[in-house]
Amino acid sequence: MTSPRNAPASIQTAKNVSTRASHYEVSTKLWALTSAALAMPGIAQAAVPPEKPIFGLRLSQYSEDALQASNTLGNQAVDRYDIGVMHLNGVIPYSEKVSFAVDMEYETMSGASPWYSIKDPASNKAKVVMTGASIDDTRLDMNASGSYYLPDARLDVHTGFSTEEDYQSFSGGMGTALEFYQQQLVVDMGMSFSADRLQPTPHSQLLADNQKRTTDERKGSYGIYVGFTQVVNRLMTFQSGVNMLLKTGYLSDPYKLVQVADMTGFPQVVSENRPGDRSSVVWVNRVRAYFEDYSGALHLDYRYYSDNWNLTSNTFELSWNQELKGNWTLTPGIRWYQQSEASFYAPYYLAPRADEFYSSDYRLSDFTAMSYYFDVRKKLGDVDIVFAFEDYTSSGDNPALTNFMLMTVGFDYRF
Amino acid sequence: MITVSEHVSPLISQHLLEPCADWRCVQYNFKLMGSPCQCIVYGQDPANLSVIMQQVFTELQALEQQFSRYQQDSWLSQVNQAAGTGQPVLQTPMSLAWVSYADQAFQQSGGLFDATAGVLRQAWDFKGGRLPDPAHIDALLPLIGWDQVQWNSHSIYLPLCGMQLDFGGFGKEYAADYAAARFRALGVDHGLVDLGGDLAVIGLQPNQQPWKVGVRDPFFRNSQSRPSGRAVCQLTLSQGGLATSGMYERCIRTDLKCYGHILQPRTGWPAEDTWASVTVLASQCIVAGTLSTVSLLQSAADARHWLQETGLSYVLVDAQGRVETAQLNF
Repeated sequence: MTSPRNAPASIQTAKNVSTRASHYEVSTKLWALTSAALAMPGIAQAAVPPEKPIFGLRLSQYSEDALQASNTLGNQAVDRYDIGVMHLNGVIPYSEKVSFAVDMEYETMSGASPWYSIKDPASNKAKVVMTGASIDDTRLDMNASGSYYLPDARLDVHTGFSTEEDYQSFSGGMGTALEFYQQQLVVDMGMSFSADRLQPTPHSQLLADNQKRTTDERKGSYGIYVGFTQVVNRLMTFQSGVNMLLKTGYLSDPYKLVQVADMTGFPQVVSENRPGDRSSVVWVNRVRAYFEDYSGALHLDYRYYSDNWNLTSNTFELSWNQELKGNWTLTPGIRWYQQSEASFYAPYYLAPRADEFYSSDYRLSDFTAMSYYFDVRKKLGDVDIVFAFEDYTSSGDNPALTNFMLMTVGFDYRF
Repeated sequence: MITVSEHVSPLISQHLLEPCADWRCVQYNFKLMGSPCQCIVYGQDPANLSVIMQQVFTELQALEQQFSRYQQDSWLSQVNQAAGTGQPVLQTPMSLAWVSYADQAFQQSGGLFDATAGVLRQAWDFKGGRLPDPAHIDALLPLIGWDQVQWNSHSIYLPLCGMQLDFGGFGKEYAADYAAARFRALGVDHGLVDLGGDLAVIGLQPNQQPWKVGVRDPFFRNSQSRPSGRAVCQLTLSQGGLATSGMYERCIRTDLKCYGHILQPRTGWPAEDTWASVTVLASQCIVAGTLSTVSLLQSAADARHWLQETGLSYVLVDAQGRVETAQLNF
């Protein structure tokens, strides 16, 4: 009923997994021969459009661990989010120069989410107050893109919308990839925007004026991206890119409250309030190295994030893509994540802030997280069967930090 | 509109071209690397198309010379002459790409595709039609083995006197890809390159239909006992290339069996129980050619499995003329 916006971290993770798994993996020998062929003078062509229509389906189950009793007010273990995700995608080559892709994601969410945290007078530690009622909501996300292939270049346009009971978002963008030195260097650039509308459902309880939910708010985002991929040698590529994003409008979570002591030191509970603009820079680096002797590829990623809320984060990800006899591919991986807290974040406030910005959202807190995952893929004729599992744990001072498990099954079918 | 009535390729019987209003077509038949070849390109201006055709043909001839093992001063001849002398030969950018491809073909085929196997030509005389002396073959076998070749990005050296490098296993296929890429770069959006049955397409047909290509029946012969134009099946090709390898293109017949010209590097003899012809469709003609050649170096069952693993489309014809296909649209 209320905000699934409480769970973007989870949704993001689910998306990452499906994107990673939906990439069609060609057989080792075809990959190796084609790469060697493309290195021959004169053969390399522009970005090659997908050869055949591909249809993919993923079903994911995202389950957050229950919140530990010792972290909640009242010392009761509370179940948190469960999200079921169905993800369909299709790639439709239209001609040698044009291809389309469509993407649909449908999510059903249920459970409770952290509402706010307070200072527990007994232990002097922060404790979580959960939303009382169980939340049930669905989200539908549709995206479509088109690519036009030129000699040595590709143009992309994309558009999408996302809708929930209390949230609508419309997004779009365009980009281009330019190839140089017979595809040894590919330069990517693009821009994107989104326009979102929030219409939070009123709270069922009678709340004080300073806890009342807003009823209709908007926000928008504008992003630009520049990056490149360099073929280092026959077996290795390096990719680096910078993404700058500006978000403006109502950036608070309308369902979250914070505990703030007033001038007299008396704790009050009020709606959270974040600054109306957030500009961020993301720097992504990826190395892909193929090891012929082991029929495997090493993927090493580093991501740096920084924004004007003083939040910075670092992500390291390492995975090994192993091809095995019988058309099996096994990909174990680990991801380590660390972020610093936003300048105005606190689990609770012992005095009002001059700028009146408050948020106790655990996603703005100082924490580290570790993920272990593995993907298994089996090719059976035209069909690839995919199974993926991820275990995520986070640790930090905020009592609402979550751990979750994500399981995905699915297939890709090439016509 | 044109129709191609003359069947120029040994295995591809016909390109079924469809009428296209407002498009002019220039077609050119020639001989390259010993095979009858054909290029067909479409455009609005036939004079311009002829200039482009001439340009690409000139480049193909230059390419043929670089690949040639007969040209005394070619890079390939230098390498072969330096074999066993202790003198490595410097790589050129072009030669490094060929050598790298030959290496990949060797690795990915588990040693079946070997660019040093050309030395077997000394024992096998397919024109003369006489079976070789097994002792002669055994004497040549030590000279075969890509894994013995010492190479890096700077130089290459054949360690044994008499060892020979030969890129004939993918030269024609590479030339087809090269020609298609050159036509594309010169502004041709629709066309077809057929170098002795190794095909690379440029875009779709002008009417936006895929190219329709017949796979020649390897057993059907006309009155002169030459392969003739009967197709065992028809394929559609919307991009990339196609290559066919046939055991019966050149072979030595005895009362008992037919010895094809595709020889196993480890034994010096053709593989037993192979398909009569294998056609593969891939994003590059050279990849299709390597896959089809390697298929004929294995038993029929192994070849089928090997091709299935790639996920590509293929057409197999067995010794009885039975046809087996997978995924005919590409």
